Amino acid sequence: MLDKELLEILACPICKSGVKLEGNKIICSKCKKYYPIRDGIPVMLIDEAKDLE
Amino acid sequence: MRVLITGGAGFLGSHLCDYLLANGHQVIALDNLITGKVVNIAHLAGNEHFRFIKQDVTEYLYLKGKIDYILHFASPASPVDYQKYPIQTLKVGSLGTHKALGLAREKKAKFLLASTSEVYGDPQVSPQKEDYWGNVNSLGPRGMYDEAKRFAEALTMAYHRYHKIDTKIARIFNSYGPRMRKDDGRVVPTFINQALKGEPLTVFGDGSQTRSFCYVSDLVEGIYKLMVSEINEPVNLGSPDEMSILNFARFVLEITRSQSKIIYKPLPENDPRVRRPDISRAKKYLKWQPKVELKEGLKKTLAWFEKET
Repeated sequence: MLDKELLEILACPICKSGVKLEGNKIICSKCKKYYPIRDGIPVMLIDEAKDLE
Repeated sequence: MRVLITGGAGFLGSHLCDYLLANGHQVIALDNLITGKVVNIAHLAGNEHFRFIKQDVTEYLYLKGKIDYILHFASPASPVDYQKYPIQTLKVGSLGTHKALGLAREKKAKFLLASTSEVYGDPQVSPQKEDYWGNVNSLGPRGMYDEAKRFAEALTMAYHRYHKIDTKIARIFNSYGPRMRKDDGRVVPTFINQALKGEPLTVFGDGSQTRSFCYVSDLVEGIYKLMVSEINEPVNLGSPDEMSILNFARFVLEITRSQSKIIYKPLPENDPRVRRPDISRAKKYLKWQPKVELKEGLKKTLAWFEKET
C-alpha cells in the first residue's frame, strides 16, 4: 500500500495532474489511465500506463 | 529540508539518500532502475522520511509540494552501462537535466548536477583544474556520456545565469565503495571480483594509465558540503592520490590475498591516459578533502563484495 504522503506528491507523467489510489492502481482520471504499484513502489512510467476500462 | 534525488537507487544516489536521512532531511528518490537497483535502497523501506518512485526523468519530472534541493544523479555512469544505453545516457543528460532544472525553477529549489571528470575527456594537462576545458571526442565510444554531461553543465549554467537559479556542479572523479555492481565494468569492482574468483585481473594497455580513487563516504560528504554552499562554479570532487592501473591491480591482489595473475588487453579507444583532480577549490571553499585511505576503503568494499557473493 502507498502511504498518504507519497500519494500526495505523485503526478501523472502524461498530464501532471494529481492522482488517486484505487485498490492497487494509481489512477489519473483526466487521462483515464492507471499506473501499477509493484512491491510497494509506484511505477510512474508512461510505458506502464494502462487504459481504465 | 526536503531533497529530491534523481538516480536515487544508484551507487552514489543511494549513499546520498543514506547520508541525507542521517542528517535529518526528508528524501524523495526517483529512479527508472535501468542501472540502479532497488536493493540499494531496500533498507530504507518503511523510513517515514524516505519515499521512492519508479520514474523516468526524461519523460517528465513533476511532484507536488515543497522541494528545497534537487540533486540530479540519474545517468548510466560506467562505460559498460553508457555504451549499452547510449541514447538513454544522452537523453538523461539533456532532457532529464532540463526537466530537473525546470522543476528547480518552479519550486525555487537549489539544484546540484552530478557531473564528471569525463568532461575533461583524455586531458592534456594534469592534474585537472576546473578551468581546464577538456579534450573530448564527441564521436568516440565515450562521447555519449562525456557530451551528455558537458551539455548538462552548459544547461545548468544557462539556468543559473538566465533564470537566476542557485545551481551547483560537482565534477565527480573515480569513486568506489559498496553497492557498485560487480558487472558494471569499472576497474574497482572488476578487479575485486576477478581477485575473489581467482580469475586473472584484466589490465588494459600496459597499465601505466592513471586513476585516482575516492571512497564513497568521502565523496558523499563533499557533495553535501557543495549542496549547502554558496558556490555556483564547478567543483572537482575526488582523490588527488594518483595511481597507475597496474599498481592498483597489484594493490588489489595484496589486499585480497589472491593468487590471480594479471593479463593485458588492448587499450580501448579514447581511454583517458591520466586522471587526477586538482581539489584546491574544494579545499578552499568547502573545507573538504578525502580522508579514507585507499587500503581502508578497499577493505570495506571487499567486505561488502564478499558478503554479496
